[in-house]
Amino acid sequence: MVDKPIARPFGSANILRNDILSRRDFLGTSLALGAGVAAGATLGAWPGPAAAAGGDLKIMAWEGFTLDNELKGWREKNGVQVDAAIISTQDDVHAKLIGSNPVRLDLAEYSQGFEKFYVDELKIVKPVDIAKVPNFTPANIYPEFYEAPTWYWNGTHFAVPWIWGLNALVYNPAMTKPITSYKDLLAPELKGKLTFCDDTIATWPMIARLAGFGPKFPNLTKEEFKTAFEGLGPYRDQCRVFGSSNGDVISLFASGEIAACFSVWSGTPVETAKRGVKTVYTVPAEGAVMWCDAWFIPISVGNLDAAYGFMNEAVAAKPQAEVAKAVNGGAVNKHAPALMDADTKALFDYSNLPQVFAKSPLQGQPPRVSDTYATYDEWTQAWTDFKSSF
Amino acid sequence: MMKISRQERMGLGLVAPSFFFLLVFFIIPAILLFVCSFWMAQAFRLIPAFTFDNYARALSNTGFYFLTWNALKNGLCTAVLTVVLSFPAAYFIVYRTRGNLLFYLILVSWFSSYLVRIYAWRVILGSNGLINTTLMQLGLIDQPLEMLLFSPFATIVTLTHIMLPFGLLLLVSALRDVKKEYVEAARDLGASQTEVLTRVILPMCYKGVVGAFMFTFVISAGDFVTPQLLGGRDGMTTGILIANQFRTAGNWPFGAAMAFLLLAAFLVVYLGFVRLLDLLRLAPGRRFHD
Amino acid sequence: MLRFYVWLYVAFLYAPIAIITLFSFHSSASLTFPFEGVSLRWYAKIFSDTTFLNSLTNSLIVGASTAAVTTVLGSLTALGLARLKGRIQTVFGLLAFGPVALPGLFLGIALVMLFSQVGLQRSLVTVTIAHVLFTLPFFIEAVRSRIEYFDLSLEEAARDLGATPLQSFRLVTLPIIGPTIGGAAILSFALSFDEFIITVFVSGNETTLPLTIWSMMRRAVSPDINAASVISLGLSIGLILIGGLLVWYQRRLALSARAKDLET
Repeated sequence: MVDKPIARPFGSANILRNDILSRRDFLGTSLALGAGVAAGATLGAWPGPAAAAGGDLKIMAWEGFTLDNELKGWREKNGVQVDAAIISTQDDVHAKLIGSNPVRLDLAEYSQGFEKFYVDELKIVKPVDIAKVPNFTPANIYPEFYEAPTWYWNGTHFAVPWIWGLNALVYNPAMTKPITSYKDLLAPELKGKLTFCDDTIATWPMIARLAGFGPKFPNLTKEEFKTAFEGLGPYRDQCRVFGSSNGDVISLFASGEIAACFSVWSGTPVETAKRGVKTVYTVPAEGAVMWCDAWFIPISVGNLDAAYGFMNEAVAAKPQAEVAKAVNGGAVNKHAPALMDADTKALFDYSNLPQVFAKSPLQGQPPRVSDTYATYDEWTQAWTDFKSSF
Repeated sequence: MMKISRQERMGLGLVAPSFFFLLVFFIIPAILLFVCSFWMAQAFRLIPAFTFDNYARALSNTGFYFLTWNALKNGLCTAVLTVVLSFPAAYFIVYRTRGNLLFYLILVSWFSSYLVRIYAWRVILGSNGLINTTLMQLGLIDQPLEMLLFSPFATIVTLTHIMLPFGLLLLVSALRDVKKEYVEAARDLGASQTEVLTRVILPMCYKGVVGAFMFTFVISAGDFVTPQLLGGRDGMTTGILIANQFRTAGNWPFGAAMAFLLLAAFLVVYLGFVRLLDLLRLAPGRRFHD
Repeated sequence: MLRFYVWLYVAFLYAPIAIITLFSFHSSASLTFPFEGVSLRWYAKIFSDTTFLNSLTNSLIVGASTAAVTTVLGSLTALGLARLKGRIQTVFGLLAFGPVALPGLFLGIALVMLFSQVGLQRSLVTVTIAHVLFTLPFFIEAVRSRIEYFDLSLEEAARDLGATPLQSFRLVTLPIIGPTIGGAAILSFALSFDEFIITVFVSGNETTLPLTIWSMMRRAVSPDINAASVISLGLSIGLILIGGLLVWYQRRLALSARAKDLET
């Protein structure tokens, strides 16, 4: 790739004008939308914090993360009609929001690592007025999540983290002896029995960690990055297929096609158990990877009040406990574990969260542009090359 | 300008709406994309330029060739299987049945979700799947055949399954134009079964065969979901590279360049196929030109 | 022999569908043998899932609109192509073939660029536009050969006998090409209903059924996706039956009308 752009616009610039993704347009759009929202807000009396106005609320979230059941009461009480679009990969979200014609969304999710990209580069995030999310306070929220740099910087809240979990090694104890380290995956009896989940957030940090660059992730120099991928070859030789998603990995376990998965959603054993196959999720010596989803308000927001109301309810103790059970995830609200059943509570060590964070840190993503470090682009390329065998 | 007949004037009027539709939603976007393939980008931001870097980058990546080979292989095998398997069925439907019941029965099978069908094939082909379990219970094998699933075989079987009704539809529509009378006349003149097929039927439904072949080829070679879910470790195809650029890496120009290269590969296959039919003397040649 | 082969062909087509249907009634969440028991729980789950119901409605709307637009555009084109000769016919034939000569992905992204340029909001409308683009070539291909060989002189004869262009179309052309067009319209609906790759790019905040099934699959593959598939299969069969009955009824009306015309 050439670094320096050759600024040579095309002759027929009016049609082919590069305004699809230009910053100016993002600004223009967000300003216009911002102005529109502000105008709308001043016309009606601004309601008190979290007193959600009714109307329809367009959200975009992962399947199972739309709080369909958990917020039923809230929706009925406030007359809010939630219209949920489903995310299949994080890319779906910005695909809707970039460009001069962003789709109207009142609330959407991003995983950690997307914050700088969304806020600073794509400019698709509207800052959160935290006073309008009264449940999100230091008294309610674990300190690891409150004002963490993934959602908060320059004194501004950009998103509200609400659900988290671990991505770790999962294996089927009936098909392999217990696994305590990634090295165990190279055992001969696991040949053709291993899978990788095609989930970059779960897998990339582990690739770095296996090569001894764990703490440096997401900033690996190009040299380190090369070494890391070279070290991955033996694992590929053990691999039968690449699971395209969590769901795919679960079905591979359930049908007995694989015995172990490199790094995948911690809720996997619960799901395979429902399908009659016992699997174990383990945090091996090398550790695991944490994920956390946060609600953010896109620039194309239409119903701001309902968006705030929804976010506020999403971090309340009761819905938190319920959704943690439904998705085998972790709560961010300190009062939620008390309301959970034993299984859900046992998923993570809530009494010692700093320890959980130490062993499985919340890490970001490789930089989009950098001369020193391997970029996101290069990681994607190397990951694709790895999957397609060269 | 030569004189245009009333028929032709009317013809032009009739195709005009589609022409405008295709102009606005196909030609213009395709030109946009082509222009874009010479641009540069960084993380979803397009930078207008005129560079062949994207093409050079794609062509210098061994992975691109490998995955394109996979795509073409999937496409070719699927298209050949689809046409070969569907032709006898189409023949039967056109010449041996009166009603359309069988035809509709086949078409209806198409209405079950393509994504769900991929998983159904896993149930059939898997290590503990229908075929392996049956074979093992019959005592024919003592170890499950692992190569059934997560192999090019699985991809091609599934793609063929998805494409069959489709190929059939096109072939039936082509065969319906070869009137029974022609076939009977050829028989009366002493042509054998094979001669009727290769000298009368095939040349007359040539367009339909090429159409069925190309449609199935393009769709199955361009598919990247089926190979990803069933093709196993080495089964990925170019589509995934292109999709990654558009969705994950955000380098649209690079993705566009790869898409155009893939398109060029498709074109080569098309020309090759037409040439092959020509060599096999199945193409209509001069006889049917008017 | 041939008959036996054809039934084998049908069996091959229906085997996976039988598996899908069987497992949609599975009592456990597993999609693998052994089959443990029968239950309607996945249907119950699906029918109480608003995301599923919304996306089913969206897919029906898009499928029907796509079929309608494609049928009008495609029939006009096929009729037009039969009247054109030489180079114009070749060029337009190739153009109409164009959209499917490109990977679906390609169409998706090209359209996203266009919609972005003209500031068109992505919605079910843009999805429909994309689907028409994708189904139009199939439609034209499916009806074209039928219409190309359709003897224009028949229509000419009707005109000579004093029929208006519309009358000759309704009384002569339509009864001949009608069934083919009906079949092709159903085909367009099916293609649209199941389209996934292009839709990923051009959809707004309304989800279609394949997108919903895909995201359901990404979280955990359960028989609920089978139930979803069986429901859409059932719906489609229902639609085809209704469509078939309508066509049959209209033909009968047309035939009796013609018989009456002949009497007078």
